[in-house]
Amino acid sequence: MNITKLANHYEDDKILFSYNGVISQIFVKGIKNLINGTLTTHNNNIEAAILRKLFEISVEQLQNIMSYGKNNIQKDKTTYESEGLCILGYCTQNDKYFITTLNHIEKEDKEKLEQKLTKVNDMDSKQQRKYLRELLRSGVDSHSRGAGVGFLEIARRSSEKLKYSFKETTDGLFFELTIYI
Amino acid sequence: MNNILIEATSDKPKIILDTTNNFISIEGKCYPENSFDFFKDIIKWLTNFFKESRSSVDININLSYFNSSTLKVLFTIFDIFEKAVKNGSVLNIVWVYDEENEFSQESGEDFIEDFPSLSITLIADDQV
Repeated sequence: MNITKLANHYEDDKILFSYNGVISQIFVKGIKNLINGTLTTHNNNIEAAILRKLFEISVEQLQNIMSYGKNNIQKDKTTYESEGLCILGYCTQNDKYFITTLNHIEKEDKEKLEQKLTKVNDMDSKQQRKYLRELLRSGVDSHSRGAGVGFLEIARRSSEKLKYSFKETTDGLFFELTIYI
Repeated sequence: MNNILIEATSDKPKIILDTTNNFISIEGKCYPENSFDFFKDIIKWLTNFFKESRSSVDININLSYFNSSTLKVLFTIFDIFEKAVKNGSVLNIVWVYDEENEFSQESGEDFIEDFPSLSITLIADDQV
């Protein structure tokens, strides 16, 4: 199905780049140049810190999709790829850049994702840093499915709360995540 | 024990594990898809290396960017360092952070607080 249509956007959002297809480490390795090229074309004086944060956030989002997306394909022992949507844009309403990802997820992952995202969104940056250290110390999240540490690293770089939604379709459940910088 | 040298790639750091000079170095960017897999042999090497107590080991960690799965692996590596010190090894760890990236500095600060038995020095990359 065409998942591009599932993405929520304000009318006045400027889409600077949109990709719908296989997300793999090769795509992740190219994302830095893609972000830098796309955003400096939009604004030649963009701060280096914004570019860096967008890159670091996109790595986490895309690698989450590769590892946890429904129907991900195992290429070899440690390599996965998965279908997904990735949009880079500029939101005129709040004058911020954003990155949106959208992908197919397992129904049973919805609750876990919601719990983690709510928890991260309820914390300020100090609490997030503290909680990150707790997770690392406990090792709870170290090998398990789930992106607790990843979401914390995203949230610490984001200028707003993580914006997410779930979309039930006849083709299954989709998860959309938008981060503003 | 063999010395190990791994050259950097676009998503993986350069790694030096040198028994001759008691020198360990991780330098560059690190955001592979599977950090545990990438560091598997390195963790094995470190565990073996620190089976005996080492008199003076210089450890250089200079990562301008790393993803969250690498952060978890770094925690595991610092656990190995902590055990080594408990067993009598002497380590001088230098954490080089990217001056422009507050998160690489904060991670260094957090490692200092979480591993009080380790001697960790923070240095900005433009001072190296």
